[in-house]
Amino acid sequence: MAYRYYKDNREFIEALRATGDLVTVEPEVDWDLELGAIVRRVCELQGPSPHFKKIKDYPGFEALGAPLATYRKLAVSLGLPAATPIPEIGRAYVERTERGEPLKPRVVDRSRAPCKQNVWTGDDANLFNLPAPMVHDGDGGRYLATWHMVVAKDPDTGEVNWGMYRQMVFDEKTMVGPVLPFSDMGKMFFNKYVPRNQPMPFATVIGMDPLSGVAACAPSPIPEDEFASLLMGEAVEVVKCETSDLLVPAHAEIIIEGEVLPGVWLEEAPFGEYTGYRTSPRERRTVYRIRAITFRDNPILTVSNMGVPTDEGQLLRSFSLSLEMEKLLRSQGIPITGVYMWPESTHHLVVIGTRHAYTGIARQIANLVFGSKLGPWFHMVVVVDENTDIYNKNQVIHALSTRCHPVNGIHVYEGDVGTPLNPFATPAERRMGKGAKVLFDCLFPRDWQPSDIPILVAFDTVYPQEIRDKVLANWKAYGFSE
Amino acid sequence: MAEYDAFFENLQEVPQDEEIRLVIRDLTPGRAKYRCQVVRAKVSSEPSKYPERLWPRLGRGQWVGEPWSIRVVEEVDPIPEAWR
Ligand SMILES: Cc1cc2nc3c(=O)[nH]c(=O)nc-3n(C[C@H](O)[C@H](O)[C@H](O)COP(=O)(O)O)c2cc1C
Ligand SMILES: [Mn+2]
Repeated sequence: MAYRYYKDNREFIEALRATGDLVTVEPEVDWDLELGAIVRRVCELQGPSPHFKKIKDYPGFEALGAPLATYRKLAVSLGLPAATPIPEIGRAYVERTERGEPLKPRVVDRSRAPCKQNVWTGDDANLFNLPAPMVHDGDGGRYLATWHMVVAKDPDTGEVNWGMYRQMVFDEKTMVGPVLPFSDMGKMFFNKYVPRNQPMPFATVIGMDPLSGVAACAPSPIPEDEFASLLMGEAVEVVKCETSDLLVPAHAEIIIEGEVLPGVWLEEAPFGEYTGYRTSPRERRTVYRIRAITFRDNPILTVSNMGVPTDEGQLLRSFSLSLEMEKLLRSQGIPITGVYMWPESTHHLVVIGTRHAYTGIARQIANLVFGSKLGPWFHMVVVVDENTDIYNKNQVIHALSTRCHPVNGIHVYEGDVGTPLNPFATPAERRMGKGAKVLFDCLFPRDWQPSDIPILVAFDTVYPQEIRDKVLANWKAYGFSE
Repeated sequence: MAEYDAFFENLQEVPQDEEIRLVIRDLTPGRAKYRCQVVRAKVSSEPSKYPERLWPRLGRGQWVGEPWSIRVVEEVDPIPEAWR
């Protein structure tokens, strides 16, 4: 059964407009910093997405900024009311992705694929014909791909990967960006194509429908083109590329086709990153050579502006990383009560609630999530008991500050996988992609005498039910307004 | 006079007045602004030593503000011939 969802970015724009989560920007804006600055401010205010109608130097092109940088917009993308509470949005994600059967994408004829309305090949396939913004002052270049997905295929199994890997315009035909070695595309490219000295066909999809975007940035255990169908409840419509047999979402705005070159590396970065800093060094990174560009009439470029919270990478990766962790922990039978990451942690800190079923459970939880495919992307695990509301910052800070023993409760993991993007990492660690991790165990030890365990002093925990009922019933009568 | 910028981890360590490989960005306004090119060039911290202007930036994009100068000896195509 199909859920309510939006087949393309344009339907999504109308949905956001209807919920008051979109602003149409009629005056011309400059792709050189002005557009980026507007999107940055929108992220910091958690405001409505700007739909830019006119971009300097690029008549006919439009842009959508901060397409999914709030929980409201995420809820809308899933066909839920904009004000849906976070745990309910999470429940929808888990139910859809656990319950449904993943469907292979449905290939449509190019006549039914709007992304084929315009085709540029040869000299026309020139990256400077697209309005790549200079997102932040001081970035290493113009980033064309900030909210997008890169399609690639395993040369042996044919398995498809959709992932977000940022791309900077180097010259007319060349883009460059980091492909981290533990990502799915990194494993494919570095372990298979590079050793065979074989170029890897790719297609960068910009302005796909919102749920394909959610799927592409989720650390999904199954191919994302099928994962997207779980979120939608029906198969994604795709169409064959001009220059390869890769399949791309038929209703996307812009497709850039080409090959990732083995053995060629070019300077990329610095760039304002999801951590809220420019951290990773300018260094030689993966090279994308382009062969064709196809696009819809009046294409709408999607632009994310990474920086201090909240951008869509922080929000959506916090969302999907924590929920994939929840599924993993439950699949191992661990009696967790929930998993949450605040977007403001830039998906570095995860809070996990559990029943304290046996000694060592916090270590087991941390070992499992640090050791999983999700591990490289975060480094702080806070384990709290089932009575702590993991979505409530006040309660989590209170638990962390009072229950975590500075010696017995903090466990440090050295020599782990990290990324060059970690602001806290030493320059040498960043170069080697080395990381460190820490567990904050906020469970009172099970070997304490029951009478030694501190009692939480709260309205709900230290008064008999009849007193609480009476106080609540009389609250206004006492003279309180709320 | 053309204007470029380039990123350097450490300005003190940049070899001056000898041919080096570097990536420069063309600052000419218009659609191709910030186009990158790999060049062999000589650079100098003296702003008038070479014909073109080079604005240095540091490794995290910091604008230095003191112009250097550059002579581009040749543009190098970084893509091996087989894959052009
Ligand atoms: C906006 C955005 C930009 C990203 N850029 C990169 C990148 O440049 N390189 C990278 O390796 N991962 C990047 N990531 C993370 C990957 O997209 C992420 O690992 C994704 O889930 C792919 O997962 P997979 O490796 O499981 O397929 C980015 C994520 C987001 C949301
Ligand atoms: Mn993947």
